[in-house]
Amino acid sequence: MFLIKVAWRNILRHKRRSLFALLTILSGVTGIILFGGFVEANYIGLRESVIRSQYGHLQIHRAGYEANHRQDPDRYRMPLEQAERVKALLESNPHVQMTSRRLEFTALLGNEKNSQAAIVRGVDPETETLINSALTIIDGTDLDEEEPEGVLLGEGLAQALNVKVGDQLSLLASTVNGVMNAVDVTVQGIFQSFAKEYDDAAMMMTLPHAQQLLNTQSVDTVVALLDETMALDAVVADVADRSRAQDLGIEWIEWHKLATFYQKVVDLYDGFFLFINLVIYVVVVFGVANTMIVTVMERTAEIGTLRAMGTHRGGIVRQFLTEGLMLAVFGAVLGVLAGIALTYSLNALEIMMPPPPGSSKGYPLRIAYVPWIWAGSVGAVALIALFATLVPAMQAARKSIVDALRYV
Amino acid sequence: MGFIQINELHKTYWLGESQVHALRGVSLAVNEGERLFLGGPSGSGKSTLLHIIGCLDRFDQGRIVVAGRDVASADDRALADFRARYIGFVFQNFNLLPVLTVFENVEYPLLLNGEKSAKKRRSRVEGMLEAVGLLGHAKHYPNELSGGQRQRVAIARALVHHPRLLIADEPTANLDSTTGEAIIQLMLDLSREQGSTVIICTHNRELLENAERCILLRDGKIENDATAGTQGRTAACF
Ligand SMILES: Nc1ncnc2c1ncn2[C@@H]1O[C@H](COP(=O)(O)OP(=O)(O)OP(=O)(O)O)[C@@H](O)[C@H]1O
Ligand SMILES: [Mg+2]
Repeated sequence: MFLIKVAWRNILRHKRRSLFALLTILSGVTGIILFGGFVEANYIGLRESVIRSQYGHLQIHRAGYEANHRQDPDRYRMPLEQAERVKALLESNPHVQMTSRRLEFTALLGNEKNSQAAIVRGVDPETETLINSALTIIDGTDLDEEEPEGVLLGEGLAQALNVKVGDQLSLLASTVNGVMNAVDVTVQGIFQSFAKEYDDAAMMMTLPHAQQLLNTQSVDTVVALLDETMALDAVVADVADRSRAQDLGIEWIEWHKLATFYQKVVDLYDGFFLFINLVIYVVVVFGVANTMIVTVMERTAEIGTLRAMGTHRGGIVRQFLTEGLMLAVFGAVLGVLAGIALTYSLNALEIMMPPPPGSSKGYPLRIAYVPWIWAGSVGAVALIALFATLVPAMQAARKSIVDALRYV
Repeated sequence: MGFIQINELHKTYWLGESQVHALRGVSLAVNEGERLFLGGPSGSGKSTLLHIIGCLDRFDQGRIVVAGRDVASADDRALADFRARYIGFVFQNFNLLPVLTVFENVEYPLLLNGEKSAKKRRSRVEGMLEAVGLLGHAKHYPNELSGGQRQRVAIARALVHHPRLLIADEPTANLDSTTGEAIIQLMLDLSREQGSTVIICTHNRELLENAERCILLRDGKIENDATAGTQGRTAACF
């Protein structure tokens, strides 16, 4: 109590110096919180956009699909009846918002003038629209069950073929029996997703039309979209339990195992964040150390008096450590409050950011509220302050009493 | 054996190459309850001697026993505890802690001595403040007091834990002569009540002449050690 009282009064005694140290710490912590919140908001935004632009939260396949479907696609597809049971199982979990079936294959898309290889996805138009809600139709309209021959082309693919909405194309692929087959399709819309590479080759069509082309009833995948990404682990556990009980013969893969791009971005930004933390903490070390060195110098005679009266060296060290720690924690807490206030204000301003690398769309600036960064920065600053104060505090305690008393 | 027993004490300060032989064989015995004034020209070693007696500094040669303790062999921690328990200091520059109130300054030695009861501390501190006539200033900070008042607080602080030895190095040097006299008188009166031994270092000739016992230092040696007769005169000092 006495330590804290004395430390507090000493902090107040030199208002300008304390204020300077406080502002250094405050701005450092605010910077960490804003940058950390910005990075986290991007993770969340990117994550949801990745999930909704193609992966869904969870993709379910027939057992063995992942290892074998490239060599023998049809054998590892889910037959009609299995897909129906999977859908029923998923939809009985309250976190599952909806499911959608997909049939995937490559085909040749073209007209008399041009042709391009396309990665084709046959989908349930009604539900796929929801999974692709981060996918923007930039021209024409979305797929529609009423227009089974309509298709969507990625922007790059449409440009390569030089086609526009309403144009006719033919789609050529080999059926499951190994026979070449062709269907006519109409360009119904053109889309942009978050990844330009994908838009350069991707094409969407209605599932019945795709099944007709391949002469099959099967699908590759049943995709599930959840009400919240955080529920994924619980849903996976539930699916694992019940599919085993029902002997369903399936395997699954979560979105983050598919989204390698997302993982790379996270790693990169984690690196930036760490670096910025280090820079800021170095500044804090110097700010606190500088303040405490001046304080110790100035209080030399006081230290001599305390020691003469019988205060132990440890008591002197504790006094200065308490002071440095209080200054730091106080500055850090103010920094957190300032960080929260600025987060709120910047979010309210809705500033538009340029498109991130690999993307074709800009996005509004968002900063997330991340409590673990708040707590972490206060903790880190406290530790750093202790460390930065230790050297001057030990110097104070080691001074010769007589010399300290002579100091004016 | 005396309360303080000093034999052939030597102390040398080193300033790079050159050395200052500040004490050159000082021997001295002081009885408990004695009140001793230390005089001598500037640089004669008065402060040096007081620092060593007060266990604030080490020495090179000789022997010193304070309150029955051979302080040369004690480590820093033990010396700190010893000072906190047995010695009170009054300094030339008052040396009050600026962030503590008058009350808190006087309370500090009691905290150092581990007095847990706030009630006991309060009554001790208030008793001392009353004795130095500053009870009404208990809540003030040192910078709100005059020099004389600050030195009174310092006296209260030096005596609040009933030390057996009170050491004062030129306690009146920063005060006018009337205030200075009152301060010396206060120290003598209060320490007499407590039965403490007192050593005061001063340049004030009048004080030295009227001292019960007066020691003059010159060039690091005791030039004169005069004890007063029943009249309390030490004219022999000069
Ligand atoms: N820390 C030190 N380093 C070097 N020399 C010192 C130190 N302290 C004292 N001295 C020297 O030792 C000698 C005695 O000093 P001391 O302070 O004891 O004298 P003093 O009698 O108290 O003088 P004054 O009346 O001026 O206070 C002086 O020559 C002084 O310069
Ligand atoms: Mg001196």
